[in-house]
Amino acid sequence: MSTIRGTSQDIWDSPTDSSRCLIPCPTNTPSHHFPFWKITPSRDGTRCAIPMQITPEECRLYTWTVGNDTPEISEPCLAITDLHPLSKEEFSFLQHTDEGWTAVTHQEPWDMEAEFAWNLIVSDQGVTACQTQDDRRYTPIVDATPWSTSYESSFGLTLSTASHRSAAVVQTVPLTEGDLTTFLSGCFTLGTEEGPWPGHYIGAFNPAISADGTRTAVDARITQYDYTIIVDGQPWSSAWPSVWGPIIHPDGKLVCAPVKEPKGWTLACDGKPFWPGHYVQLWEPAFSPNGQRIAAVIAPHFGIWTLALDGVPWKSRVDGYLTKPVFSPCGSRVGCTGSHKGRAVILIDDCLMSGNFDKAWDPIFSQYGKHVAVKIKKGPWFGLLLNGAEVHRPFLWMADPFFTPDGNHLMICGVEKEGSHYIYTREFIALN
Amino acid sequence: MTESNQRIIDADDKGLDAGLALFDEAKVRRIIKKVVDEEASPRLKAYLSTCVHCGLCSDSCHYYLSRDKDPAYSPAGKVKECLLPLISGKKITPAILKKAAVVAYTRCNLCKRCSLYCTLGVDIAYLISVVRRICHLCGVVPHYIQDTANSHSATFNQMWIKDDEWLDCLYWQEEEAREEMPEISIPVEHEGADVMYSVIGPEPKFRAQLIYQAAVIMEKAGINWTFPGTRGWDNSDMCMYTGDYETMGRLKKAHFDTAIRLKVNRIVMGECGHAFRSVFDTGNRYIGWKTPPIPIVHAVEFYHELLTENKITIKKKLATPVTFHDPCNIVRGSGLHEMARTVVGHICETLIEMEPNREHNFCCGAGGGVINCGPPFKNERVLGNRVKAEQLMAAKAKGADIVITPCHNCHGGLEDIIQHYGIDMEIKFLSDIIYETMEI
Ligand code: SF4
Ligand code: SF4
Ligand code: SF4
Repeated sequence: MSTIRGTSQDIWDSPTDSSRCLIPCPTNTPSHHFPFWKITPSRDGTRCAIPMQITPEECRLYTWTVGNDTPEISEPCLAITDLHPLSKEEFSFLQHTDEGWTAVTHQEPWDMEAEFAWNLIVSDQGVTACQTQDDRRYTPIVDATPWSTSYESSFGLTLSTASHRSAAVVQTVPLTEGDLTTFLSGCFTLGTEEGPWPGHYIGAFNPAISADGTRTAVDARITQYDYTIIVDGQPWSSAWPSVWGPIIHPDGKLVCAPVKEPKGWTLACDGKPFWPGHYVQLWEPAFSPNGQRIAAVIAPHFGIWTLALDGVPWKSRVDGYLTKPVFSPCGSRVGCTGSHKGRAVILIDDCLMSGNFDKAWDPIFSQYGKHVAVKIKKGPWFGLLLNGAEVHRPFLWMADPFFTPDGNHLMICGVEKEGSHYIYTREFIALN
Repeated sequence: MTESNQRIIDADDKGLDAGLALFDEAKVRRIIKKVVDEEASPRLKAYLSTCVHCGLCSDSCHYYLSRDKDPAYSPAGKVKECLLPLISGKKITPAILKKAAVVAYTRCNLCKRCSLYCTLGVDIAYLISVVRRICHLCGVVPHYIQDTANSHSATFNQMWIKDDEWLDCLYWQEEEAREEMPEISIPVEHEGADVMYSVIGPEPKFRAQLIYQAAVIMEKAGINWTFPGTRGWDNSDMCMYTGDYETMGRLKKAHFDTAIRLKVNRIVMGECGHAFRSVFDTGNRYIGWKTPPIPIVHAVEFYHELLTENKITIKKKLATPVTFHDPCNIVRGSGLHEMARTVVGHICETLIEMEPNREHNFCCGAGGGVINCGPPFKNERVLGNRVKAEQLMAAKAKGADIVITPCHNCHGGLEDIIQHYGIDMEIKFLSDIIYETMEI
């Protein structure tokens, strides 16, 4: 549920001068209760919003614009959750009122009053979707339009990056506790706005949808002892004792997933082992945005982790964990974070960086990979590494940094404290 | 025919029957060969060749003692009954497989007490786990625990709780807590919090007050914490006990991935023994993490920290005398017995020890998934743990009115024993008493 930042030019016509606004702590909120970690900047950083629970029954969204210390305050409701930046200056979120739950986008509530809503997601294109439940029936809703079918349950809602299409795991067959026969006959499948796949599986997990929304895949438990990948409703011809979730190539043509062979874990592509190596573990594969490269986290030995790029393990090793690899937009660079000897580390292009920080977030690369920014945390303070060097004063809280589309600046939005006030600032670092 | 054997023949369980109805000896043999040759560690052969059947471990097992020293219930006797017939090369029949399943799933708590007493270091619990793995792959698993494993597989929690129901429970408990402390919040999905608090499925389903209590304790201690709002919130794991290691791996990945995604410094887990075994030892290793990728501490360690570092203040210790049941998974499994006693010392005036105690304590009889095998085996379980009843009665005779145990399964197991043997005692979690006695 972290902030997603788009890179498209159309959300960006902002000036790059630094600016700030004052966020007073409401008088009836003890300072240590002020949830500054809930502050969410808009995509261009000019606005920030925070849900404030004024009393147990009253919650309002406060939205500030930099340069103006007076917030806009929304109508009261019972609760606000799942706040996300939506477009350049706007937000989407879920709102609970006496009538039920609804989503709010472009400052308008959707025409729905669900018994419950959760798991709101927003795509780079500004499409908003969430899960809803009414009378024990589950229906995903995308930009205020409910799916054509509702289900026994639904989870793992995901949106395509370049269209309005969505997918989720859905339960099509009712299941009561203790009913082993129905469970084993398969109650789960993948659904989209057009309806569910015809096949049912014992379990379906980690739904994936191609960028244009035309292809979908899940990993599925097809017998009590076999897992495979189902693509567009068709299972791969082989099955394994275990697999992890699939990824779809950016052009939609290939589907890859980690599979457990007798010799160990490897990466399979369209149903066949694809990488030559077998490992103690292999998971979290990722395609580069141009689709020319694949990286994954591997354990070449028990308890030892690294990345493999196009099937070749890196030399750097850690003994803790590594996160899903992230490519630069051009695909030339790749990195992740993790831990080694109990310390946070950053692993970029087979170089391991550790240092004076306790936590590190995913590396963020500039368009052509010239620069890499990493948000870090030292004790209670957030900081920023730019190309490996610490470049900014500490913040109490910081959003993910963002390279402006022209590649000339790095935008940083964060929160500081001055007396009893919190200050939201948007600043820019000029890049050479 | 011995009585013990007759009870196996009479065992009436839908799950076992369904699996045995499909019995195919050739398939069972293939499965056994695969498990023994490809999956089992060298420990299997080492233990089998080391055990000299001396019987020194027999008196360590509560089943053996409670069943009037019937050799069939001794640790080595159980291995002889359930594992040896499967690997002897002799004919395997449905009756042999049923016996293996009944013994492995319902007559051993995998509590490892016997390992403490074996001079050769044979780990009987490991050998019994190998039988469970074979039974899982043969589809011969007691109905109730299989249903729990199915819930884990489909929902990533053991109680068939849907994603919205988990969130709804947190919001509801926050409302409840606010009636007592208006400023309190139950943070959900707080990225960068110090602590991710994880619980087991029965908390939101049956014991939601524990969530509320945890929130009050966190609040008063000034902990920067969060609950996850997604799958991965449940740290429990019955698949570890059915032998479904593939699902166990998925559960552990979801749990730790959630903590990694939330960028917390550590996971604090509620009062549960088996979940600790799964996250701290068995589950994490199965998928390649030698140690937990994110530091994880049991509630006992966490409460010890809060009390010894004065992060919470106890206004008045509980006057009612208590006794303490040491959960095997955190005591024999991780040596938390002295920390637990320090915690009890901070919150209770009088601790009356059960004998034996600490790492020598007898299991409650529920562990290792035995209680999860459900009503068909309840009688077997409570009769198989008369020694625990005797321990409790002796503590009661010395004045203990409450038994504290920081483990959900132990609660279930002790509840049944207390009821069956008519012992007038209340059972509490540490957090129940911390909440009752702390300054709010
Ligand atoms: S497990 Fe150890 S104590 Fe028990 S019979 Fe075998 S050798 Fe003897
Ligand atoms: S119940 Fe405990 S003591 Fe008895 S055989 Fe099993 S592991 Fe050993
Ligand atoms: S339920 Fe409790 S006493 Fe029994 S094995 Fe588990 S931790 Fe041990």
